Amino acid sequence: MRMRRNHAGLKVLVVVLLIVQAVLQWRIYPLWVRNYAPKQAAPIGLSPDQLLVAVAGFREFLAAILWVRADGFFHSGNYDAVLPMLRLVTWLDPHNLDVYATGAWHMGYNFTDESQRSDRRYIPLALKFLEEGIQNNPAVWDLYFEMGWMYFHKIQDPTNAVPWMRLANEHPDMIPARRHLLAHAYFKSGRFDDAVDWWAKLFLDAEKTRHKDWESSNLYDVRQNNLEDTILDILRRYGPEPETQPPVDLGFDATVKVIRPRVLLVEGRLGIPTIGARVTVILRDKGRTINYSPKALETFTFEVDPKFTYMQDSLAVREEKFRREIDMSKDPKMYPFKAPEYEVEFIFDPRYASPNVQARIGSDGVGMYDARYLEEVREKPAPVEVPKYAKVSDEVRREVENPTREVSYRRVRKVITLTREQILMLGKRGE
Amino acid sequence: MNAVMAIAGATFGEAIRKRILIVILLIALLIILISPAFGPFAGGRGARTMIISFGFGVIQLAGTFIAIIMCTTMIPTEIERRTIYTILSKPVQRYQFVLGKFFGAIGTLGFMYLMMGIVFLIATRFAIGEFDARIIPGLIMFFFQSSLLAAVVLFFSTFVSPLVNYFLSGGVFLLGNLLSSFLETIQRNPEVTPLTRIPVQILTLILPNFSNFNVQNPIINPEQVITDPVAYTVQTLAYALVYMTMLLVLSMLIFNQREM
Repeated sequence: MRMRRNHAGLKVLVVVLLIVQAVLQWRIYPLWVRNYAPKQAAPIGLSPDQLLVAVAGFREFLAAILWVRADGFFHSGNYDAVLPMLRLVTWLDPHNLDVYATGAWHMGYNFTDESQRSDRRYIPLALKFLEEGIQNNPAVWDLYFEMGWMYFHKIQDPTNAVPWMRLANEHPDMIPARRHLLAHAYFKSGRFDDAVDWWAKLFLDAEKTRHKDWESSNLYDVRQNNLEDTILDILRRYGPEPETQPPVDLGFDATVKVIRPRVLLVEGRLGIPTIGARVTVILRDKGRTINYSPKALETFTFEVDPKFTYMQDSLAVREEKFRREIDMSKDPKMYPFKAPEYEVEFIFDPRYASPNVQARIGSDGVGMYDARYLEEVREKPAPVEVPKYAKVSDEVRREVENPTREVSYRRVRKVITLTREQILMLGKRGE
Repeated sequence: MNAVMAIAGATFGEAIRKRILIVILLIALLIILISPAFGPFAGGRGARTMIISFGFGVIQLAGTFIAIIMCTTMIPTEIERRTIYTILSKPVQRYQFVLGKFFGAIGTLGFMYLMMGIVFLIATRFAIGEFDARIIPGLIMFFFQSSLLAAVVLFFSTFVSPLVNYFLSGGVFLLGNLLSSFLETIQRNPEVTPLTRIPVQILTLILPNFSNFNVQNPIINPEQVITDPVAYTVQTLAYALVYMTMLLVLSMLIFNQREM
């Protein structure tokens, strides 16, 4: 029998259900954004067929295919082609940690000149890329570690590596051996008390499981050895009869000579009575340097300033002397020389010197002296913006968001100014 | 209730005999079976990503096609063949007919998903060397996605022709899959004005949101830590049930008014 009623009750039910589903959708949406959302509805750069594949439910599959393609570009040396791929893959699959980690490594390490010197203008891009990865994956340790590693190894800034390593170490599933890096960062940044405390904590953790298997036993041995070595190093260098005293007079000096257009001959002296020391030389636009911070860029981009010249190299010291010919003529994109003046900076930073050098002068340079170029650097880590959903204790959150611990170290530094005319040898036989 | 179950059973029996649906199912099963062949292209973790994401993609696509093709013709065919008069001449209400058709469609989808799910689990077991139980919730969510789509198609089939229904349902599915992403993208863009944002927000709240059911990303990337997964799953399933109920009531109301 057919109903011929008005069905007012059912109509009301439809309205109620419409409201209920809207409320549910309102509640689901933020969780969806946090956990499942891709980062672009329709990534610009996908071809129509790729877009169709993505929309048809094969988003991550397409991301994996593009990532394989990016790997192919990488191995064929087509580094520039890898960058847009990174963008597309992370839009399609923002939780693929490998892409963020490998992509940042690629930007930070692989863009080099003919002499394998890194194009360091890409480092802030790498940091920004990692920051985006962290924002998309705040509860995973990997990218905090990668950020810390970028500071620790590539930028050689242990002070700013510490907060990121702290955040990575908050995650219980972090690979045990990678926890060691925080202790190394503490030590290099001059926080010797924290380094010992951290090694002690790691050692006690390892002791609980040392008989579990070979790997645990090995971990225990490594941590015990590192704890003892750290304490011994501190005692030898800063104890009652420190081996770092009296200070070594470095007699530091450096000169720079333009021998051909865009080719410099740098040489100098560093009176370290042992091998293993290195002097960093930087050439950059006068009054301008690279801000090694994810906050240096407002939004992520693959573009570097094409007018900015920045060269950094590391010179080995042998028999208290260093010397190198630096050829920047073959890479005009990396070294555009558009500014009117340039600063050539020579730095010896003991924090990254070899252990035998540090045994004599200390990792903070307490055992070195220079009448002209010695500087004392005092610094604090830059505040880190911890993502909202990061799994971090309140104590660590406070510590990294408002760092108070100041560290200091000594270094020697000399700056020489050159003009564009001098570097390009304008008016002589140069350009 | 007996009448509803009888119609559901008949619908299920009819649907699993439909050649087009069987062909879609067999093609999907075959593709899932060969999906481990993609592994060597990526290697390591990438292989896992490829195999699982491809399998999920195939299942979602097959589920979508099955839901649309099956439900588009479900009611119009009964009217066209005039079999509906035989059914409604018995003590069967129109709402019971609609409900029976819907439950039959859900049963068919459940059967198809079960087949694809078993093959997918076996294929991934051999391809990645472990039985990954996290795949099962992903399959259940996609099953609910297809069920919601079936409800949408059934709703349209009460008042539009099958050809129009194909495009209409396909369009709603596409829009329902993209709306949340689109809203998220424009919300992050400070240059988008409220004039653009608010209509999208309203549409997101009204149209069926199919992207809610796509939870494959954390299954593909197991390192990802999900916040409130239980709350999300419960709310999404409740959303599906509420939306399906709403569409069924609307379908019943429209079908009841329809002159035949």
